[in-house]
Amino acid sequence: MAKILLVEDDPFIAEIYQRKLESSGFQVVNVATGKAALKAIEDDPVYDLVLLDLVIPEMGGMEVLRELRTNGKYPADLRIVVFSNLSDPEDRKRAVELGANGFMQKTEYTPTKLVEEVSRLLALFAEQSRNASREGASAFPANGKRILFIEDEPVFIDMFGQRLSQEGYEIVPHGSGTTAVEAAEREHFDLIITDAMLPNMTGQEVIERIKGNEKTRHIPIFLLSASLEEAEMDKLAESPDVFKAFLKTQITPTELAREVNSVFEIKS
Amino acid sequence: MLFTGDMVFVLITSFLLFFLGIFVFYKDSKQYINRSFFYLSLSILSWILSRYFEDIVSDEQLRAFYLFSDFAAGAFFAFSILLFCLDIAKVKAVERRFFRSLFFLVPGLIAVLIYATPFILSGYEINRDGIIDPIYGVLGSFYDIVVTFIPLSGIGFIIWGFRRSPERDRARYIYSLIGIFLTLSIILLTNVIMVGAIEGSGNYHIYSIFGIFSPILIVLFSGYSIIRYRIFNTKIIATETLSFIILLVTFLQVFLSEDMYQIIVRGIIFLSMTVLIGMLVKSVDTEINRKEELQEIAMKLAVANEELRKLDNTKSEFISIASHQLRTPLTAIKGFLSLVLEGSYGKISAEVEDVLNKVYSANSHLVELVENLLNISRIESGRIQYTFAKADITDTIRELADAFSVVAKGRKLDFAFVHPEMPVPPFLMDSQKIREVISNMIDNAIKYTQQGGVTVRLSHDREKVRVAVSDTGVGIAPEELSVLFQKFRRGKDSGKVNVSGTGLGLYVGKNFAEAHGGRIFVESDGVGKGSTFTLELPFRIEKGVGAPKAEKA
Repeated sequence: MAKILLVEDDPFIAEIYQRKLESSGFQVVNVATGKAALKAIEDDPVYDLVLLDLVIPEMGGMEVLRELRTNGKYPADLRIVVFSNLSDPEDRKRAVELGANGFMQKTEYTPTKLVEEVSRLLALFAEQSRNASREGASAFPANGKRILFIEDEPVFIDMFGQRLSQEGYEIVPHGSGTTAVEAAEREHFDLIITDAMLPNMTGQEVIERIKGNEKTRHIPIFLLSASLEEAEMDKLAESPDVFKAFLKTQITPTELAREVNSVFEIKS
Repeated sequence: MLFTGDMVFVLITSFLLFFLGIFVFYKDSKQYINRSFFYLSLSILSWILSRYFEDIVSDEQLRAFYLFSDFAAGAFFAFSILLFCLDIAKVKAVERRFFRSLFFLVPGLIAVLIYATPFILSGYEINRDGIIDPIYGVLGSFYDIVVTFIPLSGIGFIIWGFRRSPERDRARYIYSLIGIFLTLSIILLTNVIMVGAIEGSGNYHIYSIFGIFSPILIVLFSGYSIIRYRIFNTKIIATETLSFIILLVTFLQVFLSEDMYQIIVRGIIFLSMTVLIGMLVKSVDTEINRKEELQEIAMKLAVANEELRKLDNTKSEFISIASHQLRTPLTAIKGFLSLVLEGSYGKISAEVEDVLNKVYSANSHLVELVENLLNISRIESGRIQYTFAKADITDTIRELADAFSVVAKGRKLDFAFVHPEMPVPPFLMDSQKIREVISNMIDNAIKYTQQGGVTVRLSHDREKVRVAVSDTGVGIAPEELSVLFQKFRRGKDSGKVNVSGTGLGLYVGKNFAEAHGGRIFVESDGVGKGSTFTLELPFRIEKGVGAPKAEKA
């Protein structure tokens, strides 16, 4: 559970954001002044994220930011995201120069969207750390799992496929449903990820063929579709044949990698 | 020779046939069918007249002449029927001049044979009833066969043509077929089959008249099929013709008077008929002309409507395709951006990271926009799906209120959510869509309010729930009130970024409301006096109202 330090002085807004963040599973500590923020970090340096409002009493947000970055007693890898009502692009630039990891303009985010953005940033920071830790190595070592990736758009094979390879999986792409199903019968695969629309076969047919064959019936299937509203996608996504379904437009490569990892219970 | 009833009848019929034939020919002399109809009507006319006069005239030589003419005309009659049937069936072969001329030459040859040689008719005799009878020559039975089977084959062609023609053309075949069939059967009956039985019976005269005038049926039915086939103008002329005939009859009646008294009475009848018929024809004329114009306009309208519908479909299709095509690159951008940001391709500087975050944000907005475009196109083509489930509208509104209160505060506006003491019971709705509608209403209210505030009032009675969003903003002019809910109607955008991000618009909101059997409406006291948007939803959606449901358990 990620821990967030919310530095916001307006009690009304602070309450709403805190409530929203907590209901999404984050642990939130709220302080109202710059000095209190510094103290909170000093006392307990393990925050996954600091949400720092710029307009706060006792010590302005920029001051706090500078202090956190220049003073050695604060952890150097502390993630700080500045959020503010001010819409001056100069502020954003300054914040970045001072070492902020992100900048959010309050008026652009509803509390719900804010939570989404915070989640995204937290995932981003986590992934950044992970990547930094294996600086030099281009990919994680092979883990022996083979994934059949049935997708006809090369850009997605590149994007998702590459990311999954980085994670250590062996990716076998197939652009057509028929060759993919044949390959599934011939070779051994641990997971099948299929697109919903393929040139000569729909994702549904592919799934039916796979599930109908003794040899391949047990392989879990991920469904990638462009939309749930088209052509009964929602029913297909709910069916027991599909292990998990994702919307292509909503999932990032890293999120997909994480989902794949969870299937094999590999920590990511 | 005095004018007898018979005579008048014959004159009228002949007049009718002749006029109809001339008229049809005049209408469009280039069409083959019009020409063969004229041929047909002329030959029938000759046949009727010859048959009639052969029994009426006293001079024997003349009678013989009419008898021969009867048979000659019969040949022409037979061939003209066949030609007419071939033209109705649109047989191409008969359009060639050579082949067509045969239909005149062959009966012409037969006529020559009849008049000049004894091969077909070698003579005549007057039997004891005073009827003139033919004496057949060697080729006599040949004549009978030809004259019987030629018209019958015509029927065959009509049937053939009928079977290979499209539905809408079939009417005319039926009319002609009925006419020809009836006529020929009657002719066959009275002239061939029953002749033996009839001859000698006192009713011969009646039967022969019957037989004589039955071709009228051909003419009437065929004429009708031609008339029906074309436009109303024909009906005007037909009306006029008929009226003229009536006039003619009343006129003739004057001459049939037996004394002065009758002359005067019938004269008055004739004159008044003239006036009445004049008025009738005039009014029929204008009415039919108007009908014709209307029909033309209606057709043009139908064509224009069809064009509009196609255009609308094309537009919806375009939006749908474009949205689909847009998804792929947008997804790619999102995916690769996230990878770069995560450091998959190496560490990036803080500035680059910040910029890329902005790009990521912009791209997310774009994705939402595309989704909304798709929604609109789905609504327009009726493909949008609703999932109805019991939901608590108070929760939905509270969540929205939380979000928007922050925004309102940021713009220094008041925001209040007023809900009743008695909680609103959960009811069937597609909560996501209703959420979007209310979100849009509140978003608009905030957007168009510079000072003061926005109040969301939730209320209900036994039948329905009401969500009223009032603001102290710019208000709406009375003439704008009714057009606000139309497609692509936006007020002037005085606010900044659309915070709720849905951008759905009132048009879609109206659709969603109606799909729930409810409605959405706006009230405003005028410009500068704020406005109130109200969404009304019934607790129970009646059958037949709203969208087809896809229920989730």
